[in-house]
Amino acid sequence: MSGTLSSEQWLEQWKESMQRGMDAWLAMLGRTPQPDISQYWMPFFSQGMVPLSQMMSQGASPELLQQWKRFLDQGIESWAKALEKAMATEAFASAFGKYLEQYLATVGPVQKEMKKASEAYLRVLGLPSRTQIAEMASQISWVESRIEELEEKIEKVLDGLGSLQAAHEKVSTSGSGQTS
Amino acid sequence: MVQWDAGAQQELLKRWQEEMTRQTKRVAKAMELGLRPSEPEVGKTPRELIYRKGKARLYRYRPATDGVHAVPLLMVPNLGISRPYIFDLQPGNSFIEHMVKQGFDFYLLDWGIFGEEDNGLTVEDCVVGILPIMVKKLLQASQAPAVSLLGYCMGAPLSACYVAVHPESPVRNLINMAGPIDFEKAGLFTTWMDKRHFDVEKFVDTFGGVPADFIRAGFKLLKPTADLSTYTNLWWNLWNEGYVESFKALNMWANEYMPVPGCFFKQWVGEFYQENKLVKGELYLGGRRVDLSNIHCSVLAVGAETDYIAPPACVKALVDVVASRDKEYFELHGGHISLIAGRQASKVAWPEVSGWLGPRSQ
Repeated sequence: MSGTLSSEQWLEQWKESMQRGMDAWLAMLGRTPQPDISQYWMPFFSQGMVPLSQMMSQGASPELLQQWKRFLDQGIESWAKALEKAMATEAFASAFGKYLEQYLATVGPVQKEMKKASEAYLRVLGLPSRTQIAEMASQISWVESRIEELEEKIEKVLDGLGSLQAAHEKVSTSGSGQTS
Repeated sequence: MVQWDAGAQQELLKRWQEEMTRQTKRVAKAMELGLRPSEPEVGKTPRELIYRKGKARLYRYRPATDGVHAVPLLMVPNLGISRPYIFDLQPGNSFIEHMVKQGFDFYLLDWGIFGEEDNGLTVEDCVVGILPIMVKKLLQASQAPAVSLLGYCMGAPLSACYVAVHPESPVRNLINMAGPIDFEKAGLFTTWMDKRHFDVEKFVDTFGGVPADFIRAGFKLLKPTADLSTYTNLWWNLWNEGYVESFKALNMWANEYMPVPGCFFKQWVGEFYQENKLVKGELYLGGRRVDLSNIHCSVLAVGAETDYIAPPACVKALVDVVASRDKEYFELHGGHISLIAGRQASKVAWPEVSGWLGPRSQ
């Protein structure tokens, strides 16, 4: 690699690379099935690599990005710890509780009124309300559990009958054995 | 100006090239995610429906090996809150797939998706109604003499309650994965749901049940920076196809919250979080006292170091209160989910669990 590029030259090359990348994208969008997108971005970035490499070879290191990521992670983590500490206090819990109480006090009556109004509206239209559907689902669920109970009982009765039959057969076999 | 020798310059360029290739892939993948969003396929391990009761379903995943453990395993997950497909997320990233490959006859209890009609469901219904019938149906289907129970998150205290109030039940092993037992040590939720600040009766009376949006808000509030970390890490790893695929599945699951039935929530918050009755032995279910010292089977508790939903201390409490002689506690790196999904889970947590359970399932 010889010489260094001026910033204008570098930008010029970058713009050319951008144009190539855009052309590749436009070509790709017209095709089906859509090919691997990364293949189209490769030449674009490879073009950009030359001037960028020259710039970076003057001292900048790719570790910069990793350092930035580490810095970001540490920042988020310390922020999370600070928030966690604040949220674990009685003061936060109390404030949260008060907020929720106010919310319930506001939302509760509004929700009840809205429910009443929507039920009345649905009644006029001759349609079942959410509550009625939920009630019907509960009834179906109840019937289902009754059937399950009956199944259980039938199973027990059948088990009992099976054992009785086995005992009866045993007695008959031993009885006939004694007779002969 | 810094002087570089040719070798160092080449090396630096190579590293930049690698970094830029990654950057290219990141941009391309971001565009792809934006232009062609696709829903990941989850829950691919073959299964069969064994039994259903109300909304609850019992699924069987047959072992994928010639050598099969004699004692089948029933997994009891949390009720509501999130969907159980997290346990069978994707091939290669599935707890269930791992267990069947280890020769376990695996059963999953799916509590179902609750609606308004289920607001009357209670903890009793689950512990003395649904769980016993599921165990019975499992034993019938498997023809096995005993069963192991694995409770995850809320499923763990429910499983422990079941074993404690049914000493006659043939439970050979009990595993608690990230399930709270001592609720005084259950972290932020304990503080926020303290009865001085949180009126659970009023909450349930207003809404009937706990809407999914409230569940979402509660969990997001536990770690407000979680989304930021998630998306920063996604950007950083966008070049990695495998990471993106796992992310899509996990992210879909993590944003799909489920409602919790009202009566269940009232009892769960009131008796478990606010009164801590389970560990104190003051909880009554179906007229019977839940005494955890009635548990004599082998017990394993697995906690996660940075679990803010069920901190390690509240999970470990199980091994302190049971009467079992064979009991163990593992604590692994990571958070609540990292026991059940992701690289850490598949490399460490699952082998630990299957390694412990295998010899005890003969």
